[in-house]
Amino acid sequence: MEEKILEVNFGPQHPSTHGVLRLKVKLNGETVLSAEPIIGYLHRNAEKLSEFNYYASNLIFMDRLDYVGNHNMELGYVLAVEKLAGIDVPERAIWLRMLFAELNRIASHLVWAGTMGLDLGMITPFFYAFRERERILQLFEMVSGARLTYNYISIGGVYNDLPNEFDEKFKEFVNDFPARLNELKSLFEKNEIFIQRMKGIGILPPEVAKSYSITGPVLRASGVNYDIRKISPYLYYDKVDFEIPISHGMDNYARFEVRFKEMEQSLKIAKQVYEKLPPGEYQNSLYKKSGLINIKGAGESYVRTESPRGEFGVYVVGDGSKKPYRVRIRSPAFHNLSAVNEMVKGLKIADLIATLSTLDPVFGEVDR
Amino acid sequence: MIYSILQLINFILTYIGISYSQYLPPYGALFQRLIVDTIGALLIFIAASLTIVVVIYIFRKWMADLQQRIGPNRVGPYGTLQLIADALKMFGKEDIIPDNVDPILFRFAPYLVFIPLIMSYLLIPYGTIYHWAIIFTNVNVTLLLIIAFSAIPPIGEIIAGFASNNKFSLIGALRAAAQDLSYEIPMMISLIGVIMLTGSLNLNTISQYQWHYIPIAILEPIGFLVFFVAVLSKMAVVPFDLPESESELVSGFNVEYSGLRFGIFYLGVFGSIFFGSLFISTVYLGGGSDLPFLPGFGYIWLLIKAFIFTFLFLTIWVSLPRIRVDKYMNFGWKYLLPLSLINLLWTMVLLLFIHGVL
Repeated sequence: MEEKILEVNFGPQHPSTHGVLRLKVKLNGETVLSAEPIIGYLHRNAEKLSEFNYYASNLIFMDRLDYVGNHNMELGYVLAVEKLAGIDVPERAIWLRMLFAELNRIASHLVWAGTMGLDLGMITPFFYAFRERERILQLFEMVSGARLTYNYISIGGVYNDLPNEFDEKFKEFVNDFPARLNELKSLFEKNEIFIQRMKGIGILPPEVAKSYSITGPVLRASGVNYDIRKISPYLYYDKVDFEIPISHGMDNYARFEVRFKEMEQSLKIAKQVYEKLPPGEYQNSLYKKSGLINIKGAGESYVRTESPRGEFGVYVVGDGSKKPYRVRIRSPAFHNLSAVNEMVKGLKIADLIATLSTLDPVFGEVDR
Repeated sequence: MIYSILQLINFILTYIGISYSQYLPPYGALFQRLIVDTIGALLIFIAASLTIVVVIYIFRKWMADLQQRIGPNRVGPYGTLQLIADALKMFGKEDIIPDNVDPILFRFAPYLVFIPLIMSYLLIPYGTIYHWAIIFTNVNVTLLLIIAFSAIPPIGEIIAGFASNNKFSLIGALRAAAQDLSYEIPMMISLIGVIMLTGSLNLNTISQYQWHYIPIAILEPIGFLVFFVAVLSKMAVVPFDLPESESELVSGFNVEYSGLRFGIFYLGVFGSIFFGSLFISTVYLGGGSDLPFLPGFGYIWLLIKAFIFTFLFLTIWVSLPRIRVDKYMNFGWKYLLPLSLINLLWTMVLLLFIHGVL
């Protein structure tokens, strides 16, 4: 009998491609022979558009990159611009930035946990994860007034100080969260089918991961201790106590474990930050409101931060005018996604989806 | 001429189990019989459809409860009319038939899934034969008929998948075929244990047997377990919803369906959940046998048992992930089938014991 290869387009309209990814998959029966990711369906031209706007206006493009980890996106750009223009930031603002970056990391990983469950056919964990995420979003809404594109971290500080009711809500969240996280985790890890679906699937050896310049939780699940927060600390990450969770499993289950441990560590950081929060200004008074337009910079600067998906780098070149000459973004999800073909060869269709979901790509950032 | 047509109709009705007149009665009685049977069949059809609607409502509320949501609460009191609104919406949709599909098979497939299911509702005895009960049929081969009916819907799924001219639905159809093979054999072998024990293929006799003695689930726990899992895979819900698997194959074999035909597939899923619950409680848990202090209410006991199973199935649905195809095949052939054979052996030992040989 002649063996025929079935070529299927997964996406761009597909329920589990996490947005608009198109995977050109070659199948032999149920077995995946190759999966070629084709991107660009959510390309919004953020880098080029940034050249036509004031430094401060570009923040809205950054917000829309990784739309589940926005604070981290804003943070990278703002740090790069501040480095370029030599802007001082009040101490309180730096702590606040850290607080929200870490809360956002938790929110982002919660979205990942829920959608991973959906990809495996589990409906319920999604709602448990989003219930917790909702409380984080309420905190964000309190300070920024927005639920998706916060625009909170601004050049020279942050947009707003913490409102009075923040304290109570935050402490409530911090108290409840560890138990809720355990509950969510137990929905996954106590399930035999889940373990069967995840263990030993989507193997990514450290050498391959490095050669694809993979970063973030995906790399750390392959056993490489690489986290920007530790190896080149920005903000005050050197002043708080936390660990970088690492797993040597290299498979989907390792990535699952690493992300859940990361949520615990992020909560630990957030707690410490909230205790250490000094009083004072939250925004450099030179750059309040209309002052933001006057930012000028010459030269170039590159800042790398640890976004929920990995190493997020922003490269800004200024020519001395009020608008950047060039903005270039190093997207972690883009690099992580590039390895998908290596990881899924020889697996089944169902494993392809599971592996893709543990890479956790967000296409606003992949396509930029 | 007319008489021979009636004869034919009677034969068909007898054959599919709606009428239980084994031989042809005289003219008047035949008419009476036919009218009574037709009305009865229609009633059970309506009742089955309504039950499916109730099951869907319960499912949505129960699922919402498990997931810390509220569920439907806008249309009608407690959202009870939500499903009617959904059905109206579905029936009002444009009937889309994509290009390059096989038009006849594409139209035909949903009915092939749904009609055998509804017909098998007629074969369940709702109550024991001793008391007032709703029993439509007393043919001697009810069990065989039910198995035969339940073998038809997977064929409908396969036809739907092949006729749709879509790669996703093709994979879904192939999965449906593979899954069908791996659960049906253990299911039947575990039923053979029941047949050996009760000495009958008649569901009335089987439920009476359990009314006289004890539920077969206690006598044959392994068979009950195998049958439970097989019924779960027959319903094709999570963790065994391989033909559909919406996260991998978009929607599996019914990708291209919309509107009314999709609605029929949707009803079919919930219909098979409730039928599976009815069937498993009839065969293994005494079915419509009534308790001594409440004689004559066998059908209520049956419904209670069936709803307990329905809740169990729905809870499994919302709490488990989907098993992978190859693992499922392994599971079916390497675990379920040997277990069902062990159950057969156990039944033999049991029979020897009952007959006083051991």
